[in-house]
Amino acid sequence: MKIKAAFILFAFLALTSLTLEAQERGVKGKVVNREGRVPIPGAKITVKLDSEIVAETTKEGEFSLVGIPAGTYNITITAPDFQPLQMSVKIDDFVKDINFITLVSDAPAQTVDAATFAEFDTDLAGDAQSMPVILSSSKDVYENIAGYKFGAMRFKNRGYETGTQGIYLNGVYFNDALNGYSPWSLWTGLNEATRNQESTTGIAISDFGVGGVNGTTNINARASQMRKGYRFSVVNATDSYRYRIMGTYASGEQDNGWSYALSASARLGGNAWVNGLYYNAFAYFGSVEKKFNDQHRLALTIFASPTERGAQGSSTQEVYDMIGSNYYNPNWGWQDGKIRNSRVRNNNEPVAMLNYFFKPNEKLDFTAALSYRFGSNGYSALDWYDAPDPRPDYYRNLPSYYESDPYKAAYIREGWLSDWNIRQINWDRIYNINYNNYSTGTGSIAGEKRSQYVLEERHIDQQDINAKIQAGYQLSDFSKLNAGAEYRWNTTSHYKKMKDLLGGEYWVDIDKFAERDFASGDVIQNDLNNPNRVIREGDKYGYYYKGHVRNAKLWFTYKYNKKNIEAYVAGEGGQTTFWREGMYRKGMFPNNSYGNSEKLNFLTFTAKAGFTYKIDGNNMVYANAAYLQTAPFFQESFMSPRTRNSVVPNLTTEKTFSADINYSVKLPFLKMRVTGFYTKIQDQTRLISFYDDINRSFTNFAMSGIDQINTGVEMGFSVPIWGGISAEGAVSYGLYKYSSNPFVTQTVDNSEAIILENERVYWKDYKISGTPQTAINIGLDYRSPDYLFAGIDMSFFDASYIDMNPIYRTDFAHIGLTPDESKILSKQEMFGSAIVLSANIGKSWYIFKNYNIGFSLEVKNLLNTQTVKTGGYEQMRLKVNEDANGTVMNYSRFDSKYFYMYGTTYYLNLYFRF
Amino acid sequence: MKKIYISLALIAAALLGQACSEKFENPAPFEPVTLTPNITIKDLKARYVSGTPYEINDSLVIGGKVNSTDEFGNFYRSFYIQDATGGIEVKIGKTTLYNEYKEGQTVYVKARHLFLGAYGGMVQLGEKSAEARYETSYIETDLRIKETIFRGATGAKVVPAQLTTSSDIHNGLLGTLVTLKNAKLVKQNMTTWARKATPELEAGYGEQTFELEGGTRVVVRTSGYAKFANQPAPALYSYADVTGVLTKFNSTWQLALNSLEGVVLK
Repeated sequence: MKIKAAFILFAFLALTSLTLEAQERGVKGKVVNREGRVPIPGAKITVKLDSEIVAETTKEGEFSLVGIPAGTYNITITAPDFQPLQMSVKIDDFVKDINFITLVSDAPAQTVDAATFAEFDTDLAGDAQSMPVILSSSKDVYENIAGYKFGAMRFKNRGYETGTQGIYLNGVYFNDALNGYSPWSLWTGLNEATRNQESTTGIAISDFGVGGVNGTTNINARASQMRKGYRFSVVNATDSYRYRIMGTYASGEQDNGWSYALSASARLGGNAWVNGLYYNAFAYFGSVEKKFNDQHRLALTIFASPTERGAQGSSTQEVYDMIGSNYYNPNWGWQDGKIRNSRVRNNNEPVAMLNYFFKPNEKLDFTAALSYRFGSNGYSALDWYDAPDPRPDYYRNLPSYYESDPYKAAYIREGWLSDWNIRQINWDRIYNINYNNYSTGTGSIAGEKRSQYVLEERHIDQQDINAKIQAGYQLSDFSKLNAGAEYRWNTTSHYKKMKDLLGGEYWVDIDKFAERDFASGDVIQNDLNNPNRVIREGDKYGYYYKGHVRNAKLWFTYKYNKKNIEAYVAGEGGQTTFWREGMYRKGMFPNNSYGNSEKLNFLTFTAKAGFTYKIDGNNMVYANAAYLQTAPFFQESFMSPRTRNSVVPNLTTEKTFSADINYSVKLPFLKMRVTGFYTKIQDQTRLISFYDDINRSFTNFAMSGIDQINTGVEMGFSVPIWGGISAEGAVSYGLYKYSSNPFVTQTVDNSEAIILENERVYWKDYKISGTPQTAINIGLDYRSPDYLFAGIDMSFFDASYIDMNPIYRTDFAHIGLTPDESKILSKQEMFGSAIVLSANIGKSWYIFKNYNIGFSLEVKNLLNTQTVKTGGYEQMRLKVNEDANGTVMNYSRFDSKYFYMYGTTYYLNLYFRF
Repeated sequence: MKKIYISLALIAAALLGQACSEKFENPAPFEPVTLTPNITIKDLKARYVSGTPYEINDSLVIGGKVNSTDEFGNFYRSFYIQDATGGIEVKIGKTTLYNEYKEGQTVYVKARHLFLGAYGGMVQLGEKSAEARYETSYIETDLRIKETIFRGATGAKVVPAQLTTSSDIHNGLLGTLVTLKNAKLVKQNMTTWARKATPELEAGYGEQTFELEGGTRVVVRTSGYAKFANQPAPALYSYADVTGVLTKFNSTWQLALNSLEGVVLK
């Protein structure tokens, strides 16, 4: 009751003050950002009388200037990172409310929708689609450039795994519960609905949590946060999909307190550079929000991006050179006169979310949120039983396999160049083998065609519930405390689904590798509880297990801000429990596969502090430091999750220490940030699973004790030159390397045997892969007052390294090698440097004041360079070298596989808004 | 309300769109090839002179029915075809050949630029060998297989020649399917047909020696990679009808089982 009384008192006081104000003359209003109408706090409103009168906007963007005599005045509104605005105001005998004043961000226009990057794959090695760097249109001069311009090279900010960036949706942490990955694919195609984003960089804390070491982005995808009106756009592009259409409507907040928003899009068509890639993707979004009064607000948001998408596979340089293109895709073949891709992603994971906001008074605010993610996520692949590997670039189908027989090598080459059925998947042969296979083997059905080849769909279907409450309290004019409690409940089913029997009628759920080794008996069963199960299309088979993750955390952030000093401290403590639940009793591991594994518990915490010193209004120096102890991910924690409950040895929490120091300057003629950072990550684990030729089985490398150091400098600047032209640039110069020699333990899926136990992997001082460690972008940008913009820029990338096979750096693999051969086996390839030119142009027009029509065009890689490696990995197999008697002499490496940056691509967007 | 309807229509369109993922017609069943052989298997084999690989330089075509299968793992990377005159091993070099070359199916070989060579006295049809120690190698490259080996109509399995006494066996039967009638198991190197690999031991060939009436011995030789390798062999001195492909290693008659269906105990 006390609280309630306080509210009434507060409301009374507030009203009184308004009444008093109304008797004066002046002007008031609210300053908002044109993008999404987000309030702009700290904007300066200046009126020139005899002297200047200046007001500053509140956190809600509101201001009032009183005590101004009647008359007409020019007022100027300025805010950091926004273009200044001048307007004329006539002041009468009261405080005039000019409502919204809209400022335009002076961040470079977002010429390309984030969608071009917004694909993220959980199966990275197998798919070339580049991933987002930073998707938000940040105010930060460095991230603005790095986020868009470095994407082409799959740049990873500060060399961190992408999952280290915290992605929040309406304030709820949304990174994948099983592997931490960024969840962009959940809302891909909903660019308009998710356009309103706010982000932090590096170690800095966010308004929604403590965060990690690689920044946070919060997406405000709620009805009230979307810009009012209709927006339609049509995109024609060549770098991922061919067409996109999108329509969006947002009501804005209506007088009755309701706001609602709807958006839908379709992305269709193929890729100009790689055959077999296509989009058949749709997205929908709906949100309603009700503002009950100034204190209560409730929003419901539902969306999904049902997407079917053909994936790209990588291949070896031998193949690329043979056919004369670095964009060869082994995943497809001709069928029915059309290109059919065997690797198709099929996702439909709807998200529903409730957000509640309660602001009892000016000092206190509460939010609560509940989200539910569900649906299915499949990725198809060919599976086969007692039949040859159907992949065209399987190493035995390449000339290099016939090194000692040039005659055959020439025939292989000729076959590749003259016959699509050799160069690509031969669907015709696959179907015909199935048509004619009336098997008599284990589990066969007389008179029915047993498929030897099928399309499986590997599912990772999540059920993810997040609950969060958060409170913020303004302790004083200088300090604010935020605190939150979060709980996450995740159960994810991993299984294979029979997608297509490819002309056959059934499949039998037995383990082909076990059958080869043991012929028959219980051991060959994938599920002893249902032996010799007949599989038809749509059935689960192969493996089926659930990952359960439960995570709870409490956190607080405390910010202090007075005069020249800003500082914060933040802490988080949490507990993560996860376990595997086998739904099949694997014949090979009858006592260790069905039911729950042991429950793994980890205590986690984060501590952070930061300090800013403002030298003057334009210069500041700030520093941050963080220490994190995080739980290993479910996906890295089981030796062979497809088959059994065994836990990776030496499993422990991951420890991260990170610190940075920054200098920022914001002057009319120069905006710049320079940062130096140092991060050490210890005790990481990693699980790599693949088919191993030596053991002729699916094998698992469980690595533990991986330490790394990421250190470097980053710098961004923007300098206005003349008449709307400015020069901009960003530099990221890093050194990201391993700092320990981890252990690897190798097991196979069809045996209890441990192939390698705690074998040292000597890769201390080897480099972190998957990103250029040097990236530079310099550009010129032009913006005219009549909504014309244009830009041209050049990027330079260097020091990208290949993803390493740990076995190449073990003692085991070097037995019998000469020192020179050893060097070749253990060397890590560095990709060459690359220069990429891009340009963009756009213009929009207002028709009848309210109708806005415009276009933007971006052309990437103007020089049409087709030799830039954006990524690559060493194959997870060793080549066995035998002497004439078939005795193993030693091992050597297999050719690595690569992805290349596309040649010239464009992205043309036409839009219409009203 | 109009606005809502428009927006809802957009969403409905998006949901409907889901249904239009591309469909592919199943490929047509393969059309069997018919070629006219211009030489018999016997005559082709006769061109080989012991000790020298023989390159076939004229456009010869042989045709015959497949009499072996690698389905059960006892044949590896080759199959045998036979016509009325004899049989020959075609070293095609692929695995799981039974998927495309069924027992009883007619197969034609355009033999030009293939090689005849011998291993242990058995004449084989294969590719030019890059290694001096082998007279032929595997055909194996897809393009070469496409050029030389043609799949004809499927049909009834080959009827094995019945060998009841020692005098029935002769070199003309090499590479053809035969049944050793009422043969006596007189010697064995293990009590299973063969031995699969174990973590300690490599896979091992099994040798079960059968004797025809009249005393001629034929070794039934089974690969350790055969699916039935670890199945028990018949007891020593038992009698059986044993069907398989007749081969010879130098002077030793050998028989390779397609599967255990080829063994009928008496």
